[in-house]
Amino acid sequence: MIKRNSSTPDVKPSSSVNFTAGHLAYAFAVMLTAALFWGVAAARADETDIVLKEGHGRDAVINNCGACHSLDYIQMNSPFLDKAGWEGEVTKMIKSYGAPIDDADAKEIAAYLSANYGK
Amino acid sequence: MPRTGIDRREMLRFSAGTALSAPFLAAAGAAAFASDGPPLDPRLPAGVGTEAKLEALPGKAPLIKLSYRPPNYESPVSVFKDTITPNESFFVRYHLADISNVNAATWRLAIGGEGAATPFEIGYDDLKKNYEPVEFVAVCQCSGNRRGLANPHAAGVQWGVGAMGNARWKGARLKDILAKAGLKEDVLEIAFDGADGPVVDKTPDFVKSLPLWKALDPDTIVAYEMNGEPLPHFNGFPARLVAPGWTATYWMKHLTRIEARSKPLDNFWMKGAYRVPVRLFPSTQRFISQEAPANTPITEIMVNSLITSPLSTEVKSGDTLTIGGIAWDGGFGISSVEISQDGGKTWTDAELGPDLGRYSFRAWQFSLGRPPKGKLDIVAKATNAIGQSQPMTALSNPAGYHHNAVARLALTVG
Repeated sequence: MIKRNSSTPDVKPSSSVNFTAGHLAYAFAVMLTAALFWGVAAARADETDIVLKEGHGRDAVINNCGACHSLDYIQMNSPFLDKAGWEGEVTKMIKSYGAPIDDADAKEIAAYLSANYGK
Repeated sequence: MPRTGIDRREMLRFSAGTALSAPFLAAAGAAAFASDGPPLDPRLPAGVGTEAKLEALPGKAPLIKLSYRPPNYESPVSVFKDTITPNESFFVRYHLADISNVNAATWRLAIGGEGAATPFEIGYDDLKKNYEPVEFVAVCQCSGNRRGLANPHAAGVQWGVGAMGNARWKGARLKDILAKAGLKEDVLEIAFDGADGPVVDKTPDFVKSLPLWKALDPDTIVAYEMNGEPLPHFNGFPARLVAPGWTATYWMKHLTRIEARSKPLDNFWMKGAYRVPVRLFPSTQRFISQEAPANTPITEIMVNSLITSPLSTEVKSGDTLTIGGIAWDGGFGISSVEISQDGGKTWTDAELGPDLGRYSFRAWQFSLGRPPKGKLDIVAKATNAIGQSQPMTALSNPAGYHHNAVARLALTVG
């Protein structure tokens, strides 16, 4: 029943990945279908249970930040960063981690994070 | 193939989602589903409490989940009542979310780089059979263990006290492996890569290096056993680097490549992360080829201690009370642990438990007899064999590394 040894191939992907909300929705659908197929109790928590606060910029956060890491990182790092602190985090993700986030989204993300998860 | 990465990731997440079937359900019990979550240190950022959960990854016991992807799970403090950390309870830490399951039969460890005269590959059986095995107990501790307790808070995984574990590691000496590669005279660093990688290509792959002297230390090994068993997948199967005494950032999991370098490794993980301000910590072990004027790579673990008993803050008067815990350091060995009952004004030596080696947790205990009703401000402070001891408050630094403030327990005897 546990398919973990065969569910993740040994080969690393070499192509770059361009994420969109559609991809995430697709992936979620795949997971949900798989869960139903195997009859897995849906009650167990996973990252799809993470709910970020409503607010302008939340979609940009889900689509950009959520491509590389689960969104629990945001709540975990709150509320102690001020506006400059969150801007610094977004810049770090772009400059140090190579996150493909355009300028408009970057501004929206930092504004959302400091408004909703800032100190 | 744009979907490759995300499908793989979702698959991994799905496999995590199935973990609470038969083998894990009993162990997880109600805890994994409890709405009130795991016990968390009040010094952590408030946001940690909204998402931290007791969750079991495949092959692991329930641990405190801090992030799902990449998976970062710490051991609850109760795990450290045992001096050796069971494999299933050992913390899990990844930087990047593309985590392959490695098949031991097809796994190869490549030894090469411009500083290797005779590059070659090692297979799993080869590693176990053709190199003299070495075995010892050592603490594996994340550089950012206790980051969540830092004041002011530093961004990153908000670890409590459990991003560490102590295991008996068995493996081949790295220096024996390197000897076969014919190191050239100008080799400066040895670099390590693992099978895990980034989700997007532009994210720097997690590759780390050691100075040659540490790589050639006879205690630096390529480990294929942990507490007498193969490494759990989430702790680096089939083989990981064990650089005892040094923080876990150097303990590369799922090793795939070892590279002899004549130039310093120049990547984000060496130049941008895992660095501490110069002269802030009393580190004695240097990584000279990576030093910069303002900061320097983190090296050995700072002397530290943890109180593991009692875990409650209230005890009954009339009962005998023993304070227990563990102490450890960067490989010099623990020489004493002192206990204060008055917040650090007066100190008395605790009794040390068995010595499992200089890299290991050292158990200690201190009996208070039957204390009368009142409040006790218990403090534990460890000192190592070169005279270093714990500061009363952690030394603040930008990334929240090396949190080694004295252990404290405010006890009410009622």
